[in-house]
Amino acid sequence: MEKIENEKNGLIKSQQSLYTKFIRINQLFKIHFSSLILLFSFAVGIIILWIYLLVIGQATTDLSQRYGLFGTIVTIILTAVLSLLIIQIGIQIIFYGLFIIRGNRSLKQTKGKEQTRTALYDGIVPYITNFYAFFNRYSKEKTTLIKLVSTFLFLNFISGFYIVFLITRFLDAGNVNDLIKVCMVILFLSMLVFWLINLMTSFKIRKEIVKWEQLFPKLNEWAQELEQLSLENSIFSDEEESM
Amino acid sequence: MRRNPCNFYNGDISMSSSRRSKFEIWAEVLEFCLRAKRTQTWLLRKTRLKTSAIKETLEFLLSRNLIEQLNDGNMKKYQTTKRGEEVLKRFYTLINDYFDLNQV
Repeated sequence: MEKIENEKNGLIKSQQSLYTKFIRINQLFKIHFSSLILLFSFAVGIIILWIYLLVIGQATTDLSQRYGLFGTIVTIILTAVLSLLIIQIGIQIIFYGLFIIRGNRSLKQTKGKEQTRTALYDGIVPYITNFYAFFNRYSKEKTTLIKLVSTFLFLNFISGFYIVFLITRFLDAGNVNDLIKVCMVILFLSMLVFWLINLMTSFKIRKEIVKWEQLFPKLNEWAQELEQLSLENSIFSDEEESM
Repeated sequence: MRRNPCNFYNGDISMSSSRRSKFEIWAEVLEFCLRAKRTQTWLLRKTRLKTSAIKETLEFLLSRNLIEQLNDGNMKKYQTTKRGEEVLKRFYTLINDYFDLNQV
């Protein structure tokens, strides 16, 4: 009896340990997702503010003034690149958002109303399944999940850097009133912080994805072991139990 | 669809009627049947598998003595056996050990 209880405790301990790990991983994804949303909102906010300043005439496009048509073309290109980078942040938000929604759903399943027989949670395997589904979805030769996440990391670096570079140009806009200048400085510093958080979490997520990719073959080995369990084995096991 | 030749996506590991792999489905069913007795319909709804796939899974797990079939009135219910618990524990331990080893 004591042996059975110990076995149950072992199972519950394993579940608790895994649950804690998954909560931590989920938290990492949530922080990353929040930083993406904030970065996206601030970048859109800055574009709106910049357009507003241009319309009311408090800001000027230096390049157009200095280089005429060529300057205007360069300004248009700079704005188009900024828009593309903002769109890719939007794509990342959808990508990580879907992952978090599914992950949260499976982790929330854990505390059921039924009386617990041996296990505390039943959302652990669904969480792994969620991860595995993402790996499977991006299992094409050219775009594995690791490559995709690495690309996101690279784009996050570039877009953050680019946005910061553009803002420093906007900050120089001469005849902007003080209130707007203060707002822009606050926007700039906030964006810098969120960008750094985003980069840190991007690195961590990449590391996490690499770990998971190496783990899945081991889980497949577990399934292969199960397949190799013979019927004789199970009868033998039953006999052992009854003894 | 071309598959990555150097990783786990390769090979015949998916259930005939599902894109999910065997380890996901087996572990999921074992985990669901651990807390309480479950009917086939309940499992079908929770795992979102096709009827043929869930039947195939249950038959496999029953044949390996990892779950047992219990009659609850007119209903057939399934519950994870001691052996199933052991197998599931091994599954959890595998992941736990892996993460503990790779912790930075």
